Amino acid sequence: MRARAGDLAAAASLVTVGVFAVLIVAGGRLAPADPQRGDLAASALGPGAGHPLGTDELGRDILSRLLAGTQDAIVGPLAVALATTLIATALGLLAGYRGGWADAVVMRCADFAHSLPVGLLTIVVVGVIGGGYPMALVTLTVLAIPADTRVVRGVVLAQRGLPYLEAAQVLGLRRTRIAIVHLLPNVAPTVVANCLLTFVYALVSLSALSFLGLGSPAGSPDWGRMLFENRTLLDLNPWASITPALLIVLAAVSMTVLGDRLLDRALDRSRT
Amino acid sequence: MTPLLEAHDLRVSTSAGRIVVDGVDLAVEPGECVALVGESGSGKSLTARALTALLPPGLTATGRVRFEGREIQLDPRRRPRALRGGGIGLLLQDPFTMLNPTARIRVHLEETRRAHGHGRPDRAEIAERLAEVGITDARVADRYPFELSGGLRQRVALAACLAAGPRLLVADEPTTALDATTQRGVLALLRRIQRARGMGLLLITHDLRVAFSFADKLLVMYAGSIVESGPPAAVRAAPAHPYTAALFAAEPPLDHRSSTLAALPGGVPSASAVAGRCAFADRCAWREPRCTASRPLPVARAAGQLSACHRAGEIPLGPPARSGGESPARAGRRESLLVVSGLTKSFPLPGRGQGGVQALRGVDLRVHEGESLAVVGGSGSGKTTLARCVLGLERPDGGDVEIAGRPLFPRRPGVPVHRLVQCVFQDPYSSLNPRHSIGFTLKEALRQGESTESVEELLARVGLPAQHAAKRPGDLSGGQRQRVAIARAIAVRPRLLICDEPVAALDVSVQAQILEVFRSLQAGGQSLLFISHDLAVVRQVADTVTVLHRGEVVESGDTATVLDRAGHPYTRSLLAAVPTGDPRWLEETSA
Amino acid sequence: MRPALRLLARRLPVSALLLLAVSLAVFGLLALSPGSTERALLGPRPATAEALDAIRHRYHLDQPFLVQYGHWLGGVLRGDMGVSVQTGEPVAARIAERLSITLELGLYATLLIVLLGVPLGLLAAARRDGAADHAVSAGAVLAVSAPSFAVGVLLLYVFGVRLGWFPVFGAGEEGWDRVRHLTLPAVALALSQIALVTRQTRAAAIDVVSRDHLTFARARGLPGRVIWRRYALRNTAVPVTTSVGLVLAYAMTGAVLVEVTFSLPGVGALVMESVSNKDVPVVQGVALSAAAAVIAVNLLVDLAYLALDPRLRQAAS
Repeated sequence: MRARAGDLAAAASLVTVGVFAVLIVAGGRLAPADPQRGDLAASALGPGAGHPLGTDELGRDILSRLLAGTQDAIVGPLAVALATTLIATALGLLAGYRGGWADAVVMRCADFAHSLPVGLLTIVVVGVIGGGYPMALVTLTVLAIPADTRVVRGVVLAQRGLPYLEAAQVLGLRRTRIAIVHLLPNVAPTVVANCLLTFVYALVSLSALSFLGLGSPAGSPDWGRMLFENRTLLDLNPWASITPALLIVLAAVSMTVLGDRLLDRALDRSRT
Repeated sequence: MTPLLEAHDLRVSTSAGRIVVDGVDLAVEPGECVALVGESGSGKSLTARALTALLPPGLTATGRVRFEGREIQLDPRRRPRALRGGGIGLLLQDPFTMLNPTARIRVHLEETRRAHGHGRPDRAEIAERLAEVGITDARVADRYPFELSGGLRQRVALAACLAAGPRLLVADEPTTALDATTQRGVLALLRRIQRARGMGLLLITHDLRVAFSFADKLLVMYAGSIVESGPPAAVRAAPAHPYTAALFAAEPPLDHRSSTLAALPGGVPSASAVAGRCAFADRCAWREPRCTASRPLPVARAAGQLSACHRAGEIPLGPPARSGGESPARAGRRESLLVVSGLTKSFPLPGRGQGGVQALRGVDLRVHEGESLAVVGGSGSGKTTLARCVLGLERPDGGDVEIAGRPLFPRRPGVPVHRLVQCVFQDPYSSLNPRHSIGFTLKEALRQGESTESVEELLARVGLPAQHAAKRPGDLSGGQRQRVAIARAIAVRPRLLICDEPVAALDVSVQAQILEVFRSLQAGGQSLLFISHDLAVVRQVADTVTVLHRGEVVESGDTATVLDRAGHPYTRSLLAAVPTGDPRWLEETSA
Repeated sequence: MRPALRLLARRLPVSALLLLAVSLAVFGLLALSPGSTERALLGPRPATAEALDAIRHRYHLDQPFLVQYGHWLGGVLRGDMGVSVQTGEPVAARIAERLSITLELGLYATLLIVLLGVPLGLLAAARRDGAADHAVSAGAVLAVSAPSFAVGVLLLYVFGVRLGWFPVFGAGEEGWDRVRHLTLPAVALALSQIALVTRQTRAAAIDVVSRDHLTFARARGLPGRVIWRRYALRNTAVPVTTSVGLVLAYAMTGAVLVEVTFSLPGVGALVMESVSNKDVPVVQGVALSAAAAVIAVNLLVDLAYLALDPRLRQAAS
């Protein structure tokens, strides 16, 4: 019963992710109007003919702006998630499997990051040093690596005591071969699931930065930025801020559901 | 006399409709001790859980159960609380997980007393209750479970059970997780308390010989149903069901080397796979067409003995015949293959400052070419650490290890240690990489051994069909996995094969199959270093025995000499701990 | 209490070291901020030669970086975090004046998290696979990844604009009015963390329920309330404490977003004002205080473990 409800949620999330994928490729072309062209005469209109979701304060079409923003909303977080996963997996394998000084160094760094208000630091770094969107991506990646490394290391440590790895060692295989051919496939399910959750973290953080006016450039059709700019129009055209909020929540929730599902399955498998 | 507990047609099935216990009938008289014996997958533990209304989520029980003459509910929600613990108590297998880790020992006894309407027991009463289970140190009451040894924890758990004043105690493998020498003490204690209190006792066990010495009545369970029941002495003298006879024959004897370990082919099927037919038919040498056509009903044999076999009475069954003598003398070059001298190793204990645990204190031993040496000892004796040092998985603090004349420490490049020693590990479930096919695993090993043998030939040598190469470990049974693990080790053609408790995790019938594999390797001239706590198993494979106790060699010599005329008291205590199947086995000890 | 003292003796130096490293990074912000440091510290005032000289002297800018840092750190240790570029007031005073709103918001949110998250998690675990469990788990999945600012805007629209139950702007007067004003922000701040704590509690409780010692407790006929209180609640306390500790670290970031969304004059809003006005000393002050708070909370969480689990008490001593 529970499994069926979970399957349903996972299926719905997969469909959502699929729709987002289509929008990334075709979003701009589907837009009914130019996302940047304003019309002060049509400022803050509610939904109606020509503007399915109304317009913002400058009279720009909300639907077109949302569609145009999909690509940036998804691709940036994806880059952060992939970069983080790659580096964290390498570091986690190193720390967990090699142990010794490598473990000590990596784990002290992870502890350090764990004791910091990471989100606040991101705001401060991007806000004070500047650097815009690329800086935001780099900062988020750097600050996400320690937590992900810790996760990978945890899985590696759980595997390290298992006799199949000792058997590989007794067979005289080289350490790198053991790590890549034997250990990695058993760590991979967790790594993939964790990558999805890192994506959610990056998506939420990037839109949060945009919401605060950091990261994405002013005037760009970024969901977080639209949410902030249009929140004063709640009484005139509520859709102008509700729809970007809903899109952010939808993207985050569907990826979380998929990530959770994969993580559960990875845990189940490691138990049998 | 009304039986204390009477179960009729007890069935347990999963929510998906799969049957796991298929129509069990049993009865326990007041003051009687009944043993329910079976291998893993027989459904014996789930029978215990069903009777105590404590089945795991997803399983439901049906059937009629009467306790003290009154019908009781199997639905956990409708089982009255006073009956739990007070009527029927349950003692679980693992003393390390059974007690609440955040509560002191005292609290376990107090909460049980209060749950059954008594006042909070005072210090004197708690001390008395601990004394009943053989704990004379009253300070134990203020300890936490993690501060006690396994044996003590199991005694505490027993005291917690008894605090509810049960009229029937169900004990589910209460000594399986304990060291062999502790097991006997706890069993004897359980038997004594049961007699003193006049309590009914249902013992769940996998060990036929423990059941023989322990019980007033025996039930043998296989694939979800009871195949034979009767008084232990009668069953022991003449098993009436082919499965009981085969199980009995598969138990390795302690007092001689059996020439053939009568191994049962295959493994235990699931109860739903054999519904409506004889559960044992597929593995039975006496099978007839009617065995697979209908489920046999229990037939009365001699005095109180019942056998659920269509051919009961037709087939000649008896206790396993004493076969063979001592090991065939293997004429070999008596050259030393492995020489260990003065080996020491200690492990730091976290939080204990300097020192730590001294696992090995100057161990010397020698394995000759073509010989099998068994290293025996209880847990903590250092036998596994010794194996790991020889394998190069641990670095010893001092001493030398020499294989085929080459020293192992310090590590030298150009000495391919893996070509000299290989290992079979204890746990067949985690010693194979679950992500790779059997074929991949074996090919990798063959490559490491620069062997020209094919995977098919290798599989055939351990008695597995060639199509297993495409399977993954998850598709195989425990016994099959252990065969693959052996194949992986011999693929490298090592001079010495180390086996670290290779059959300890397997059922008796499967254990015998694996021991036969080792014997065929020995016949081919393979040298073995065999690590085990089980002296009966050692008797079947080893030429010589070395006894380790707290990291020191206390005795060594020919297998027959050491096991028949043990010199050291520790060796004698290990020998005494092996169940004999005789009721006197438990009487002789003073807990 | 000896294990606690031992833990403190071991952890305090580490915490101090950590804080030192953070302070170095925070101080480095000034050097890394674009433009010349003098101009950054001068702010909107006219850049006369005398003014620039005074700044240079005051912040020891003519000396090496580490010496500058030493002077700054010395000041911080005496409670002097510099002056705000924007207003000329001491940084500490500016933070203090905003602190109460943020603390009240944080306290309100923490209460919501503990008082809703833990019982909901236990309820879901007790009714595992039932309707209540499904409802709670589905709600938790939805809420756990929903960002506070997006939730905030949705809450503002539904309960502020459409239904008019709660005010949409500002912090209101002290007392009941303040509670009304802080309700939507606190819910927005707490929602994802309630979901997180619910999930953690549910998972921990289900784990405990499947354990042998709980089966053994039921087998001895212990009443349900003893089992839930002494077994389930006690043994879920450690994972739950962990997630509550993480919540507090998160709340520092969440406060910025929520205060901006609901126009609350708290420390979070102060960070954003200072960032957009390039008021680096104030940003430094807030970042350092926040890091100190998180480190302190982590230490408290570790101490709480000792009280909750005797095994950890032994490991510590």
